[in-house]
Amino acid sequence: MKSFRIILIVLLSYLFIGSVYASEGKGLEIATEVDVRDRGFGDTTSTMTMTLFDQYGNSTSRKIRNRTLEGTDEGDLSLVIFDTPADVKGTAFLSHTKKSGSDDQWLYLPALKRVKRIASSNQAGPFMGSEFAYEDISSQELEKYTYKYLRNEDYQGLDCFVLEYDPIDRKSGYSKQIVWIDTNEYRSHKIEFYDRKESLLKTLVYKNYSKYIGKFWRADVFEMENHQTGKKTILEFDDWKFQTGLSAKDFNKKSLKKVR
Amino acid sequence: MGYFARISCVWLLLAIQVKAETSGSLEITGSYFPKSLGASFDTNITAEAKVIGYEELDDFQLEYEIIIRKSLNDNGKDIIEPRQLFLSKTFGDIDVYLGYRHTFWGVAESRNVVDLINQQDLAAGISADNKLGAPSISIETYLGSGELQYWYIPRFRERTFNDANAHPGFGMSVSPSQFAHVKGSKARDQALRYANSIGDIDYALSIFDGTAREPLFIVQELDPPTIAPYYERMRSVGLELQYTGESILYKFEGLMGTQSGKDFDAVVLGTEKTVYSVFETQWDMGVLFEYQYDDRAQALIDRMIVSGVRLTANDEFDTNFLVLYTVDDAFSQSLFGLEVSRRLRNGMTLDINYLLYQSDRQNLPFYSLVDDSELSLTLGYYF
Repeated sequence: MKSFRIILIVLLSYLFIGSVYASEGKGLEIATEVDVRDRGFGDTTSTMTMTLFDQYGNSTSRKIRNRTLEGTDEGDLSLVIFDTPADVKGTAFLSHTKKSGSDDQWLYLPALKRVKRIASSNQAGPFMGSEFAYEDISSQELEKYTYKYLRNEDYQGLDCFVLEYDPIDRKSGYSKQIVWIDTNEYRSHKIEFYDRKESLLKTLVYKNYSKYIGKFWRADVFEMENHQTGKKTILEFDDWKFQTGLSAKDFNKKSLKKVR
Repeated sequence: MGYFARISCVWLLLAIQVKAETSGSLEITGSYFPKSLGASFDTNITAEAKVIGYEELDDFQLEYEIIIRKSLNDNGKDIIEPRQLFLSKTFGDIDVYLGYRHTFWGVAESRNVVDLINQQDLAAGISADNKLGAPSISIETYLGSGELQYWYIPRFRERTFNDANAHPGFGMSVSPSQFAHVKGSKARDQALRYANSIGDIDYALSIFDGTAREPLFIVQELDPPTIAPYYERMRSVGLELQYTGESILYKFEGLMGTQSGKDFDAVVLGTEKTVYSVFETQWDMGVLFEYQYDDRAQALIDRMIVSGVRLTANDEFDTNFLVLYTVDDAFSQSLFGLEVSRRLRNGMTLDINYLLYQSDRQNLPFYSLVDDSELSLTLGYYF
């Protein structure tokens, strides 16, 4: 009888471990499909209005332009140019995303005509005083997380996979992210960010998806709410353009100085 | 009005004609000098307007950054300055620039010994960030993955100085500059720089042949005595290195060369460590430490140690604090600096600056600067 129990426990353990492997496998499969479906976009440009709301509802906004070049061997290259507030007009942020390890980042300060290489371990820090951390806005490389499939769930009338993303980099500000991805088009609709103490920190909601050049989905509105401070940041994207002919030369230190 | 100034005016008029996309700022600075001596003023107000523009013309791009500054008590600060006013054109991978340009070379924070293209606008303040445009023809291109620049500067820009009784002032008027080169301010400068990066290391190599940016001073025994800046000729090689770690930076800037036949070395070694989210807040804290060495005759002090703390709030107002303490290697003379900057609302900024010079003994260079300790408040409006 005792040995039967042991065999049962062993069998159950195998089943349990097996199901965990299965959920990890399925999680990675879904995340890979999300990644695969967005491959081949080449490059994009867009403009963005970032509106910061404090806990009392007071708001201030800034205008930003984005340029992204899809990476081949390494991660994507991205350039962010600030148009307002007027005192930082022309400031530009260049990032070469790495699939593993720290990204390479440079900042251009137009008043000094100075390009500064900056330390990039600040991924958990706030971007431009907003509720978005650097790691939220940087390119989402598949290799940066491990994935766990949790369940299927209806979200605003769409059947969604619910996945847990666990950041590999211990400098990430999050213990985990819970991500809602629709089963039809593999678009992210909601992300819950949990802080290092496993408490719910922020929720990001993507709104108004449009399909570009017949294939690539982009949301026009990102709403990030911080549950611990009551602050909120809304990003409104406009003027998405794909395959505009940008090349790696538009994403180096020299190009940073010539940015318009 | 000089030749280049006339050209500047023509270009400025041209810029206005073509209704270039413009932005700019207006800053009002109120200064208080708590240790001011009787011969000087103890308060001052300075206004500075800056107009920045860019326009695509048929064959060229036009870019300008014009500064107009007027001070209540210090005429030395008054200026109409084309910090940038140039035409540029791109031929394939080669960019050619003609006109007044502003650039930056270097990696260090407290001093940039390799930053030789622009003359310093010293009357604007002690920060080397205040520069005069270099009247030049410059070419920039790629060399492999690196960047190559060549500069030809046919005219020398003299350093600006405050009035004799201003802060800091010489206590005597400045007479016309003297030059080691027979052609004086018409002696040409040339410079070349190659910059690239390998992994976590950014590096640059440069050579310079021209008139030294920092003058020596010759007292002219007239009645009353005056002081004349004397500019030597300089040939130098510069090296910049920066290693960027995950939260630490290591920096090296070195310049070696000859100045009027005499060898010199100038070096800045530094490190900056950033601690993110200090005490679980949104604030970042950077701690920096730099060592400066300069054996040129122009250097006030040969060896200086700079330590500092930078606090960044990461808030929507971009609130920043910077405390810098600069001291000579004998710890007998020092400069304490505090900078606070914050955006008040979109388009308006507030900067508070405090400078305190201290010196143990009368015969030290900083002793004469003690009365120039300054508290200033700048309100900026950006458009």
